[in-house]
Amino acid sequence: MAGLVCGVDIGGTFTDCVLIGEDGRVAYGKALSSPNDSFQSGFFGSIESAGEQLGMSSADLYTRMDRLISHGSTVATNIVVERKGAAIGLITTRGFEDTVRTMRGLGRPTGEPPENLLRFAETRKPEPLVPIERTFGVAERIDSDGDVVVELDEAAVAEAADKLLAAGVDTIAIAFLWSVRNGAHEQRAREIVNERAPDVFVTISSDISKAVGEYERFVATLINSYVGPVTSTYLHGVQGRLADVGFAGELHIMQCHGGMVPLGLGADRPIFTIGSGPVGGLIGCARIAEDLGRNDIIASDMGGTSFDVGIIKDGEPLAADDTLLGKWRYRVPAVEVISIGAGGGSIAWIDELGGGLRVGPQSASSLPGPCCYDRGGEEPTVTDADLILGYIAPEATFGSKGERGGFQPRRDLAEKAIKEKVADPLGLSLTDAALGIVEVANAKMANALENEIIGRGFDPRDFVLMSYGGAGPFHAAGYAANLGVETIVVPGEAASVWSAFGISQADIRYQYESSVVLIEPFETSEVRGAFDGLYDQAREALAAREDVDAFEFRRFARMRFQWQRHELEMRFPDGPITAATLEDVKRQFVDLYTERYGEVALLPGARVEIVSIRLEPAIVMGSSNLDRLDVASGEEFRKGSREVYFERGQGAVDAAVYNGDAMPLGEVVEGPAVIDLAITGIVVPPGTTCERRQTGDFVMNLNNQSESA
Amino acid sequence: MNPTTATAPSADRERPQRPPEFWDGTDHAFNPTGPVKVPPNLTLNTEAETEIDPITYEVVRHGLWNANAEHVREIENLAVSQITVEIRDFQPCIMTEDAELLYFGPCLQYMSGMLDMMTRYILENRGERVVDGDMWLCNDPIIGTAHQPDVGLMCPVFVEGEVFCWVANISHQNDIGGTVPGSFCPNAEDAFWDPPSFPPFKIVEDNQIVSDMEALYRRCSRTPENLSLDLRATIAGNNAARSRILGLVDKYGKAVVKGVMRRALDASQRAFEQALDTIPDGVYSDRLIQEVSRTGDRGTYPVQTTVRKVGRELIWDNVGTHDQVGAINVGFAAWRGAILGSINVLMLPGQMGCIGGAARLCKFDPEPGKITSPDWGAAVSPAGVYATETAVSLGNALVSKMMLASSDEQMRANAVTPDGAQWPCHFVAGDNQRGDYYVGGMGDNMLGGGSATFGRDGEFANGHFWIPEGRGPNVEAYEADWPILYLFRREHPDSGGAGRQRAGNGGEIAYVPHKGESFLGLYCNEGIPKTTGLFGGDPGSIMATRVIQNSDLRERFAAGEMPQDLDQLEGTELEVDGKGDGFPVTDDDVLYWNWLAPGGYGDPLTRDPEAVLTDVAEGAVSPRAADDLYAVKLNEAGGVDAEATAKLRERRLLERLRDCGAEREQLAPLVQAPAGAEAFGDAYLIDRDAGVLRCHRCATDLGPLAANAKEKMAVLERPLRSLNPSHPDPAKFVDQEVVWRDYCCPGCGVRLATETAYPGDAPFQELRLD
Repeated sequence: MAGLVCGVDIGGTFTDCVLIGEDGRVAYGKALSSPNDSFQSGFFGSIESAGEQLGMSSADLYTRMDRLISHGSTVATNIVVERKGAAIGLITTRGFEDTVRTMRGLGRPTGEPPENLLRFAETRKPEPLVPIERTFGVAERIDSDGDVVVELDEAAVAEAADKLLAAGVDTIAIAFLWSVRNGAHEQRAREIVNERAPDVFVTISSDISKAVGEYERFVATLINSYVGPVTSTYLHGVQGRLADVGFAGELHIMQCHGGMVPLGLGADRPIFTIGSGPVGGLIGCARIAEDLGRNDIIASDMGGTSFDVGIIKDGEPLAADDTLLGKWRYRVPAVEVISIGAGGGSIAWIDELGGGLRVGPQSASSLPGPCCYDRGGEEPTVTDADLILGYIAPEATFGSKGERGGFQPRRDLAEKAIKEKVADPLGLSLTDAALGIVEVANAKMANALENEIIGRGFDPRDFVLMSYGGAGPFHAAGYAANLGVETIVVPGEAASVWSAFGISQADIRYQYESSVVLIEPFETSEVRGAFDGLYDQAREALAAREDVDAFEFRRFARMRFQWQRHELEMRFPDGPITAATLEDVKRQFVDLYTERYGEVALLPGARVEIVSIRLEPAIVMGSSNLDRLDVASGEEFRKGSREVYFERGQGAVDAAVYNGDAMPLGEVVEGPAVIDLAITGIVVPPGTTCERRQTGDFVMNLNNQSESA
Repeated sequence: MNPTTATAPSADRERPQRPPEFWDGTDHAFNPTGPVKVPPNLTLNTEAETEIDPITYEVVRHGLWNANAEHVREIENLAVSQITVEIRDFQPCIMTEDAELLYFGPCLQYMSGMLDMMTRYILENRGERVVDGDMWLCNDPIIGTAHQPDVGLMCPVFVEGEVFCWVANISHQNDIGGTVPGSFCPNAEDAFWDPPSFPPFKIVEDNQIVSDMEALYRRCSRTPENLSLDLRATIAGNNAARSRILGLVDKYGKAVVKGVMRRALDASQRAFEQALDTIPDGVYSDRLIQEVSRTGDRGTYPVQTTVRKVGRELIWDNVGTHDQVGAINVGFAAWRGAILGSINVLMLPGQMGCIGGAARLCKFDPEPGKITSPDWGAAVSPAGVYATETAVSLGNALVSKMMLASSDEQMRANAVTPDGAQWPCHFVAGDNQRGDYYVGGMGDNMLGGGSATFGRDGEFANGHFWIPEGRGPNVEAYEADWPILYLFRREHPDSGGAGRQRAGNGGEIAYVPHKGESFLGLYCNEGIPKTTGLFGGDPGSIMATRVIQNSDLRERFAAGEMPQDLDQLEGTELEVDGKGDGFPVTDDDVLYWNWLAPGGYGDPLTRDPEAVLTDVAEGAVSPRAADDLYAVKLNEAGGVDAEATAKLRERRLLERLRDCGAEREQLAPLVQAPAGAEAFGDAYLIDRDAGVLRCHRCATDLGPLAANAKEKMAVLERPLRSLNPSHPDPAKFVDQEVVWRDYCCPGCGVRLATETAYPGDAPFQELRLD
């Protein structure tokens, strides 16, 4: 690779940057995110701070930069979560104005933890993204074959647009039934709106999703509209300033489907940036696993309030059926990242009736946070237990300079809460109570992981567990053992900028999708024709800005047995599509289905159906020969020992403590030990080992300590 | 048969005593009592550790709950029946070795009372042949289902040669035979018109499907391939759950896992005991009047559920319910399940589906041969549309009334008004746009209305409490598989029961057959409201089907119109019976149906006028209803004219009392109820000192606690049609006159109770404190 590669991740508090030099050296930069100037100073500050580490002036930096990738996942996500989006107007098929409001009858339970599913009167539907008075139905109708049943009432579209504009909307969403089979009405409606208001941000549903199922597609359209104006402003602002500082290329934007696209093709679809941060993390995992020669990975990111899980199977992150954002479920092409409400802030409490020790789903969240943060929290949390057990270094500093100047945890507050709320009532010692909290939290996380993995027909024992996030590596050995996983990988010092690192490793990738009805016996010409349509679309869109010949075109199909609702994604072999190709794909589908769900789930003779096809033009960018490490040479990595607790009733173990950042490459430590890292720490239980690999990552081997799941 | 006119609480009536063996699951419903009886060759594992530390307890408890969650997931992934997958009409569970319900998923709740019945039946009647690696299939309503399309699959989990526990699931099949595609057969005269009822047989032996039994099972279905695929999904679900549980046993030991099961059940029992301790002892009862027992019938049929609360026990009966008749019956297990499901969600949501402990405190004491506990031979196949929902709605009403009398604020706040007492839908069938045979059971109803609570309104499309994760279908999903085209799917204004807190509206849809062949097999129409409100709230909406034949819709389409008002279409409106025969429909026939909304809470005349103004602005309530039901006056600026509204409401209340024959010069003044006073919601005050019930607003004496308060109230009897001008005349469907009654406080005129009744009936007693 010729030039510098740069990945930037704009988070809620910090903007992170990873810069990969021409020689493969890696540098990290961090700056405070800056919503007040459309995130610009944070964006550029993070790049320049990384540039300094590589000894580059800012002038040099931008001119030598080959590729610059950014995403604004947190920007767009926060707009939705905080309900600070644009005022939307919706134009939809007459008769279906209530579609989004119905939320498929699931508005109440959606996004709730399992503990709340039965709390019928205590949980609510959210306020709608668009109020009914700003929703206009227009006469038009297309059927499931894509045939026009009722022509678009263009005058009604114009009238609706005028009313919405007069009502002061910032953005207009257009969502018609069956636009996935025939987008002409939506496209024409957009033209009509554009003619009247060329500057208004307009989203049409068929541009956002090709999935059959209007609710999830309409929601995606609304969310795109909701986050569109702000996101678009910041992305174009960044691009403008990049040109000023000498960057000759085009800013690329990370997408939730795992690829990146140039701004020119992505700015009008900001919804695809939502969730792209965690997806970036997953791609980073895939790269590391490639190094390890392992293709099946459970990527787990445990922070203060959430536990995000992604699954990589055969080297590819799994595609999501749906994306869940707060109380909203929508469907766009995306890599699956499942968020489970568990984290360091999860509160421990006693179930008075059963006498059990429970953890979560209530969380101390970031405010007040765990008791040891000394911000007023009084309920014992997982992080408090981690501190008492010696997992968290007593001298650790939480928070960073920008955030209340950093602070050290207060053990006395953690002790008080666990003693009073857990240990004394249950008649346990303080440390056994803390171990209990950790054990229950680990079991819950392992169960959630198991559900996700086994629910997809996989065996967790085939996987490597990647653990990152502030609270993850403290617990990884615990929840991995419950799953039967043998190997855990904790990324090295890149952990704190993990998403940005992943983003820097992403491929350029586009997605062209079409929903189809292709049922066995397949007509070869029909399947070929369907893919040809996608090729034509892709070439037309790409030709203007890319060298089409540079792309590798990958084909996928979502398949199921006829009438089923759940599909499996199959890669189509490259080359011409023939009857033999189709036979082959079908056989692979049946094999995969059997592998996932067992022989007993298979019904001989059931017909296979293709419900959607996808074409992915991609340019693989992955960087090789990464020298990701500057070990803090000269610093002593052995820090002595401290009292650490692993087993209930066993008392303290005098465990070796290491400074992970200074740990030499190739060094192997044996448990019991704790490897302190900048924002987390790796708990290495007795009987296990942990090695620092040449890439700087830590690989823990549970050495058959694991138990069958 | 003549309608019942009895009024004394059923709990007090003389009842024939029946020996336990009467409830045999052959001629009469299976309703076992006492410990499970198993043959000597079968050993149940009962060894349970009692000393389990709180951490191990929680880890194993969560693991068991999670095993059931995985079971849900597996079925979702693999099943094919639209009803199962698209709307989640299925339910998995884990039971103890003796068939106590341990964990139960957030899917269809009334199935709770079915799986344990079927499993117990297998233990007691097939026990000699219960071995490891087998699964039993059963859809027999006399043993344990609501109706035949609900197919149960029970799997014993063996540890060291003993039955350690059971995993099981039940799922609704698209078609399992019978006279009507989709297997809801409103024309059924008896069980022999219904789809076949299979008592438990082994469909899996030694972990393999028994092919001849599968062939037998498939034989009557119009969509046998669907049946087979769903069977595989449910087998995989049981396998997944069994494997998880065995994993826990391997890791923690069988005695610990069993100990955790026992302790979780005991905890659920204690949770229920604590709840019951906050509720006064008494008799709580509710009744609705069902209509048209089958195609061509014009009768009416009371359906009643009563619970007597005595300390920490609830005794449930169905006395007052009409004899089994036509096709409006439901298997006893579903009636029981409807009650347990209401308790599970409304009273014990924190137990996360651990319902067996609470079930220990419920005694089910039905009269046999009734609509809700029929003897063998009764047709039940359409139960999912008619009788199961009556059971759910009445169970909901009684549980909510008890909760509203609780001294616990959270319990009162969690009570919800009764959900729809029927489940309207259409079943269309034929060849679809691709020439494949299809059966389309439309589940739009799953979007739901929204029950109101004591403190807040319900919301449109807020699902159903008794299917917490039920999911409404996408229009595109249906149109992709079935040859239909929707004209609209929208909120149905004025359908939510009016009240001080109004229920969320239900919805309505119109569609037209499109590019295929369609036969309308099942449809719904009715004249008598069946979904009651609470404490003076209006009833929920009623089911309507409309069919405009040979309409000009296609010309309208060609002219660029998307018609939204059926009255504006040319064509012939068909007279549609309540439970008529099926008939073919064509691409020119427009069909309409609505889904129900729950009842309201409290007298609509006490609703905050500002809330009514918002309702009207949002289109949820029509201006007519704002005036007729809520008596809200607007000023010139379009805001609420508070003074004029207050005057109008006072006048209406006085007129109401005059119409009741209880005329007064002026309304009794409002009296602030003492803080923390014992009460039913904010309808009745329980004055233990004086031994009387009082109006919560004005403290008017409504008679002794043990008496029927309605007898002291002012009552207005009026035609059902007066409830809503859009309702049809019930005489269109039934011969017997049924009236509506408003029961009002004779002091302040506020409505405290309502009922449907036969003219001349004594007031139906719905509450009595002991």
